[in-house]
Amino acid sequence: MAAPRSLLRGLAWTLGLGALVWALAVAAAAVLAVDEEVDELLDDALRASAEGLAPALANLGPVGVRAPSPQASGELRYAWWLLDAQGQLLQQSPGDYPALGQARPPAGFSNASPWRLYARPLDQPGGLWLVVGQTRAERREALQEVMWMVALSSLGVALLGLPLLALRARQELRPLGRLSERLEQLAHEGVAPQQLAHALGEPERAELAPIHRALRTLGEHLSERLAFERAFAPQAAHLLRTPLAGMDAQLAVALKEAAPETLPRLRLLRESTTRLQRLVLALLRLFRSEQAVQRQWLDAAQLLSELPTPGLSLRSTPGGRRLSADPELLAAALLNLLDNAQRHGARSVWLEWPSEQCLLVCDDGPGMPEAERVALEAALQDSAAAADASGQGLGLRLAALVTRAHGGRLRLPPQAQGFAVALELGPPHE
Amino acid sequence: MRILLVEDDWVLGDGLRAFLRAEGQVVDWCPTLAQASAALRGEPFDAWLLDWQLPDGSGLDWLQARRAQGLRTPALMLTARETLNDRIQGLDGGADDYLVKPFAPEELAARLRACVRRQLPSEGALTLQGGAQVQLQTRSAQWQGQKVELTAREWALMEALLLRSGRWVSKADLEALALGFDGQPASSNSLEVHIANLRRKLGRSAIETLRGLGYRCALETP
Repeated sequence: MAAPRSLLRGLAWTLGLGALVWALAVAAAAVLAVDEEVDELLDDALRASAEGLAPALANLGPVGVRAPSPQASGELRYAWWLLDAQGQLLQQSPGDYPALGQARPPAGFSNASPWRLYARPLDQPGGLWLVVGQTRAERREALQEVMWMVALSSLGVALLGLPLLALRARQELRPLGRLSERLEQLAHEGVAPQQLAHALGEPERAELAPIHRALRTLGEHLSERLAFERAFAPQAAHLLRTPLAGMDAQLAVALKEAAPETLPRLRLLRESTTRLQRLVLALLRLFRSEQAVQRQWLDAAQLLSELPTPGLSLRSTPGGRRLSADPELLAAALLNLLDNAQRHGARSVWLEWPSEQCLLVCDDGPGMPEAERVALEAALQDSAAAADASGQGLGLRLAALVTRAHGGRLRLPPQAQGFAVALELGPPHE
Repeated sequence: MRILLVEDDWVLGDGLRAFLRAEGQVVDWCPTLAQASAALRGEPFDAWLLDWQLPDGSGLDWLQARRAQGLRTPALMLTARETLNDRIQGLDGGADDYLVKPFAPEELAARLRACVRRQLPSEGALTLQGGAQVQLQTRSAQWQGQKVELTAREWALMEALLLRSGRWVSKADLEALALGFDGQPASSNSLEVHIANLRRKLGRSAIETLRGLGYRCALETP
């Protein structure tokens, strides 16, 4: 199963993207706002230039036509032209820049590519006009500088604020982490469900209160269920165990009193009773949640040899190892596997030990189609699916429950011939 | 041995009674504690087999009450309660052994013998006056170097006497303790017949008789 998405990572991504979008939005808003302002400011500067130049040029006296002064004077931001009443150029500011390109602009502001112009008459006889201009490229450049400054400032603020936001998010998520740690600790300590709410204490954040409430409700439901189970289990155990003991006692007497010809049948009947007892005991133990698996070191080959297996020959590979397992549960699992093997046409069953704490039960039966084997193994490893599975594998399901109760799992390894079940019993006690 | 079996399940009670009778024990089967208490007033018993959960109360409470009265008869609890706490509670409550249902009756019989054996003066073979040796665990006997075969009734008598070795046992008590496997009262002279057979097989001095007191089986001091 893939690892779940990290809440912190998701939050960090969201905050990062949010900050970026915020920076862009702020920049766009600033551009829209300053675009007009910049125009007005530059127009004001243009008019101020004209007002400043006008007295100086008015005092030039009679003006003749002068050649433009072509020498460069660095970066040009403004240019001016002195025109006569007919619009003839009399004089212009020094510098290399595009021509005015028209006779005489109207008074006030006007546009004439590539210029933004401001024209006014000079207070002088002869009807002289002063035109001050600024190239539109210059104005765009000024606007772009402003836009860049705003955008970079916003981005800078966003980038500087991002770690702070991430830190804050981490701090705010810490109560959630502490709640998880506390729950894990309580699970490790084996706290009773009814004590869960008390052991958790008060929620650190308002958002955690619903989780606390849900856990409290869950704890209450679990304790009710446990209480019911505690009350029910001994009764069920009594109701099941006593008749089993009675059957065995009656059969033991019948074996003593029976005629020789009925002895084999009675022995088979008693073997079945023993088998039924093992199954019932294993099921009672598996489904009584408060009762832990009672492990001990045992010889699985010996255990197998003690089970009633009419019609099957049993063998085990030499050097059988000892396993840490609950003998009753393991016996019930093995009984079911032997029963399965026999029902599916096997004549012989043998044990192998592929690894520590793993017992492989193989048979010489017809085996199972590969796709079916894979599907069955997947179903057995998924407890919910195994619980819903019907038909084939009832014995396997009990064996799977036994391995799970030991902290292990059941596998169905592929076989060239026959069928095999691997009981992985989990690590032994420390 | 005479055994008091307190078990309310008919199939189990009947099965255990039949099985133990076939083993040579005398079994009084009571399905309730009230009947068990009544049985205790009239008959001597060598062991009690007690179910825990009975229709008229707890077998363990009943046992504790009997222990409080000073009764030390070996008691074996038969129960479906299997947790460690249950076992501890049962043993601390006065039981000498504890067997969880379902169990094989053969194991019950063996545990019962082990419980009762602890009442004997020593483990292993016992030497009777006159030199005969008997071993209750294996039910084997020898006299004058020869193996001796005893019947189930004779073993029952030997057990009853050996469990009370050195003490006089009245004829009535001995009949109650050792005879009547089929639940029928013993015939008037059957006890004398069995005692005579035991003396023939194990020597005359193995069992003493004293008029008015009954019978006694004395062990030779080592």
